[in-house]
Amino acid sequence: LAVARSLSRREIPFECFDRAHRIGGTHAAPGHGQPGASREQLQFSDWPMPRSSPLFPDGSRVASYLASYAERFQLDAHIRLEAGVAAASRAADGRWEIELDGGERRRFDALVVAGGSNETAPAPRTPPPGEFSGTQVHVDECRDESVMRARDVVVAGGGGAACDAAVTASYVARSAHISLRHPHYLLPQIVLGRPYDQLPGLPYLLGKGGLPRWLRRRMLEAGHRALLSLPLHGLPAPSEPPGEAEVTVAPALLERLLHGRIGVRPAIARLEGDHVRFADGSRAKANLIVWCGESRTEFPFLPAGPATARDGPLELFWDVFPLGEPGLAFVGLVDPIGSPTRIAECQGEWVAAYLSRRYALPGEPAMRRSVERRRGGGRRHRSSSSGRAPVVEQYDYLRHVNRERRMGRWRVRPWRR
Amino acid sequence: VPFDWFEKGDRVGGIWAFENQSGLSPAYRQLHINVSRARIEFSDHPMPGSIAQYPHHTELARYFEDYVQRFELRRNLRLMTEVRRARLRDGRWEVELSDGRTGSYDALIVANGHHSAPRWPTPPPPGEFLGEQMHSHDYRDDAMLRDGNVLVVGFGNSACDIAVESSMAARNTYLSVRRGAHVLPKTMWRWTYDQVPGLEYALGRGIGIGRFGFQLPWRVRQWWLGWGHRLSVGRMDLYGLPAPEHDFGATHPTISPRLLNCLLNGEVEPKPAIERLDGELVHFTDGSAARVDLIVWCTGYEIGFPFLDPTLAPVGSQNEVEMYWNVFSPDVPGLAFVGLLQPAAGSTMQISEIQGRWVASYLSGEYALPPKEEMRRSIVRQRRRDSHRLVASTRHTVQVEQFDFAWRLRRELSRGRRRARGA
Repeated sequence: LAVARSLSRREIPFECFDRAHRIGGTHAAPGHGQPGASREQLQFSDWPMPRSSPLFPDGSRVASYLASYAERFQLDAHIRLEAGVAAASRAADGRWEIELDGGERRRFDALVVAGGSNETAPAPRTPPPGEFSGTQVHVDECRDESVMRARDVVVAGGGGAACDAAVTASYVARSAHISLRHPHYLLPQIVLGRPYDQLPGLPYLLGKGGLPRWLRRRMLEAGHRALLSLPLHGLPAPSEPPGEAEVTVAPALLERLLHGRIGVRPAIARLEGDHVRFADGSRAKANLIVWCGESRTEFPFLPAGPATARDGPLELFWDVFPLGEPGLAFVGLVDPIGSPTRIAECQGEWVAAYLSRRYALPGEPAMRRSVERRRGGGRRHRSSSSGRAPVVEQYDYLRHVNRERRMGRWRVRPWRR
Repeated sequence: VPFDWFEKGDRVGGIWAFENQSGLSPAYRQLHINVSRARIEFSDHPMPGSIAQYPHHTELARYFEDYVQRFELRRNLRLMTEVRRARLRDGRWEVELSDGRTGSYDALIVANGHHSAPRWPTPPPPGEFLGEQMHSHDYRDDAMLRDGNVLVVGFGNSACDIAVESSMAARNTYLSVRRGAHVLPKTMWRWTYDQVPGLEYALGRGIGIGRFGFQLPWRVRQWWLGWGHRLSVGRMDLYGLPAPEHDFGATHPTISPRLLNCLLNGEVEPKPAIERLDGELVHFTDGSAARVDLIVWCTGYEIGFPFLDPTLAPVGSQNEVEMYWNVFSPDVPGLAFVGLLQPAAGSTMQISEIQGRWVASYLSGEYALPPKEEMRRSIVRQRRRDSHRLVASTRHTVQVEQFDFAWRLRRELSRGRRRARGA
């Protein structure tokens, strides 16, 4: 929607295809819980959410807000629902040929992929060794709590869906464990009397004003330590420094941990019949494992190529433009600390400026240098776990992208050609 | 001190013994205590490390069983024995038991709690309601709420717990709140809310030693607590709740971080007081109405002693009690009440422990009560103080602050010992 809005504002003709039958993306899928950001962070800057909406709206409310946004700016005329893109390939003339699910073929000058990174993979990429006598399900299959009733449940994952599943299990199951391979930063919704993502001063810790990274890390770390005690909740320390690890808003999980109703364990090391052995050597009885597949960024409809590598991180210039693939852009392929909407808006504007030729990308060597530099700078751990969307700090990212947009505007000035 | 101990139920634990045979336990399946373990445990029996930070009722019941076992109290305890009647005759207490036996004692200690007789709204809201109604005392688990529209009335701890469970089970959940309150979370910053460093001083512990110590003034303490609340939970209108008209500390604390989250997520809809009932509809004072299948009244409890001669029971119809520091009756010798309190801070368990020691030192002759007139003056003083500090309600007649109580009692004990020696 952010891209569509930017394109329609610049009067670039476009079409938008979505496999779903209603607008809203992951929010429109049934059973998706709270997106983890507050109303002010979720809303578009030019269309506020209704005041009657709760401060932390759930998925269905966000979906209907997004539908109202599409209607308000007449974007829905450009959106074709129930029209999934089955394949996209380069035609001989360099344009993109799109094949829809129904077999219809269309040609476009440019392709913007905004399918999101929240497509969850059904099972772990490398299943743990050993035999398991119980059932293994994906988190999407146990939206209904009856699956967990009176069973010994191990939930594997640390994201929002995993936390929700563990909380449900703590009520209905006989025993509940959560296995955290990469412990996230778990947060309550309200910190210091405000929504956690609207704290005054937080933008500066997420890169506004250009404070040095080491200082921001220290301050975020100190803030997290002052506001949430990991040992009190029995939680392990997050595996990555703040600003690089995912943030999960899980107030219910935090309370159930204080109640002692959920056991926290590290990664699953082995399956042993009706038990699960964890990486620290401890065991737990289990007859149901709920896998919360980590989100992966795979685009099966795109042709295989260096830009769309299946194994390994995408090589994207500021997470948007692939190297050496003109006329292709990815939007929303980041896991932001901060507002996902602000980032999508910025990326949408950037893509629209590029497509309307008010912005020019730098040369490929410069783009490659930038990609390498970002990969080196503090995200070594991240790039080793391939296929996950990179974690970016909202203001740090926006600052860099806005600078790049200014430089690109300069590049298209006629006297520079 | 030789003693006999009678309990109506089939095990110890009182309200924490889930589905106690006495039929008096209001515990529900998912009940967790809302005070952290370090503030519950008895001073001579620390909780084992395996117990959660906020224990489940089963863990608490087991802890009490262990306590009885450890101090060999079982010998004095007679379970499934109800006290039918207790009368004062010629200075001795005559007790009639449910098994037909009687007993005669020098003193009677009443420790039956005050969460057994449900209090229904008085006067009841006008109109007729066609759906189901229940009191929170009878609530057991969310199977009772499934798939309906549920209205929870009240803003105490059980109201919040039931509203949270209902938000997961029922179709729609409304919470009718007559008066705003400061809802507390279970953690504040990096501590459990009741173990924030320095909190004891804000709750009435004295600074200094013995008679040279002093308490912080109530206003200062209230200001401190209020700002602490503001800097962790924030303003209550953030959650769509009415802003409290009273200062922090003027009501019994409600502790429910989950309710706050449910309000933020829109899973529980706050409503003002009920104006009238109309078939399946409930009308609220702001003019809105909701279709409701089940009303859960979380309207509190009556303080009552059905076995005690009403002329001796020092409690009125509005739950007001005529007792010296909630423990000793000034007019009836040899009658003491333990655990007849709502902890404004700390826990019933730890305050009861202090009260128990006090009663024991009185019965063993180590301590002597002040003269009757002084006790009555103290009751009047305390009532006047409460009326300044607390919101007038049947819920606030037995409010006790643990640290304040412990601090004042220590002085009173040394005075009473001097009296006992002088006598």
